[in-house]
Amino acid sequence: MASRTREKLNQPMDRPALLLTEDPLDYSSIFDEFRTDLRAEGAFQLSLVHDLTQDRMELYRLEGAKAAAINRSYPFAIANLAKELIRKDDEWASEVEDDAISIAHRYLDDPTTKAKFQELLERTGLNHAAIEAEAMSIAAAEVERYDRLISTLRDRLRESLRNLFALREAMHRHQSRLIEDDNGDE
Amino acid sequence: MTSDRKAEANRRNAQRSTGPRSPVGKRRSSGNARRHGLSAASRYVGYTEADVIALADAMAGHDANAVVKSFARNAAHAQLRLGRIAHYKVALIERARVFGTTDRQPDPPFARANDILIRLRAWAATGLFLKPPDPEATMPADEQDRTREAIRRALPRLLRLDRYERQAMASRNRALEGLFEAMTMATGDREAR
Repeated sequence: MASRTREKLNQPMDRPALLLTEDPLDYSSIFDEFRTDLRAEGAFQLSLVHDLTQDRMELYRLEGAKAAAINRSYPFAIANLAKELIRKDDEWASEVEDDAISIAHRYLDDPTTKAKFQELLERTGLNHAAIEAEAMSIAAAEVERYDRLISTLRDRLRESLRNLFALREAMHRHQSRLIEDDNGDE
Repeated sequence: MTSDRKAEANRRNAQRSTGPRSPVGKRRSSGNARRHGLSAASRYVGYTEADVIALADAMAGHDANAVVKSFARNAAHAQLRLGRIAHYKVALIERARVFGTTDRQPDPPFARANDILIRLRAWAATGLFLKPPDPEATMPADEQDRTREAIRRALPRLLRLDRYERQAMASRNRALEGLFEAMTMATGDREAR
């Protein structure tokens, strides 16, 4: 039973935790690269390489979701800025809300609207960074949550690497002593 | 010291403390000790004793002494537990991808009450006594977008798991540090002999 489990653990594709939209081939190619680069051997070292691969896949997943969160807030950011830019001195922001939302919807697809909006920005001394800043501030709470998860994953990556090297060193030292002892006995 | 009268009163009160009586109360209290189960003392959720032994042997070697084996076993357990957490995270995201939410759907008798509660919450937030849209219906059609939206909706639960993941990671690291020390000591003992 134990040997069967050990064989199973040695296999690089022991049911990795992947989403249905993620490609198992991506997992196995990252795993192979890590295994070759780190010269990992034995079930536990391979298990730590599985950890590294898993963390790498999760990082891709979360970084994609984080980028999507910021991208999702772009239309709201453009609408917020447009409200400030197109309203006249005696107008309330709510009075130009519909126009601002319409600009935000067209900004990403219509080059004319984009050019006009950028011209409006430049007239007030602003640039594309103003949109990014507004988008980031809208998405900040969500981005912070992704960052917490990403930070755990980076810690895990670092710890797995550290453990891999420490284990290898401890085993190497242990085995060298055993060989020395055996030679001494002879 | 407790007086006899007080002790007698305590005994009488204890006779009355018979726990929940209604079926709902009994069912609820039956799950008192149950939470998420990730840090429970009952081991091997999703893996077996043989998995722990195989991994511990791979770490420590077959000829290791009892102390080294014990640390290796703890480290193997923590390592396998970390592996399970990765699967739970995927399961949560997949659930949100399919249902649009990670919340449990209410049983039929409570569905109406739940519906009213949702409308009241929406009314408190927006001033409109309308039911919010069906979570599944508001999921994007494109698979990649759907997955990212699922991750967003699963975020609160993923953050809860994050805490346990950190705990499992710390416990694995402690066990491994112990293992390395035990291996070094075992090597030193052999040298001394």
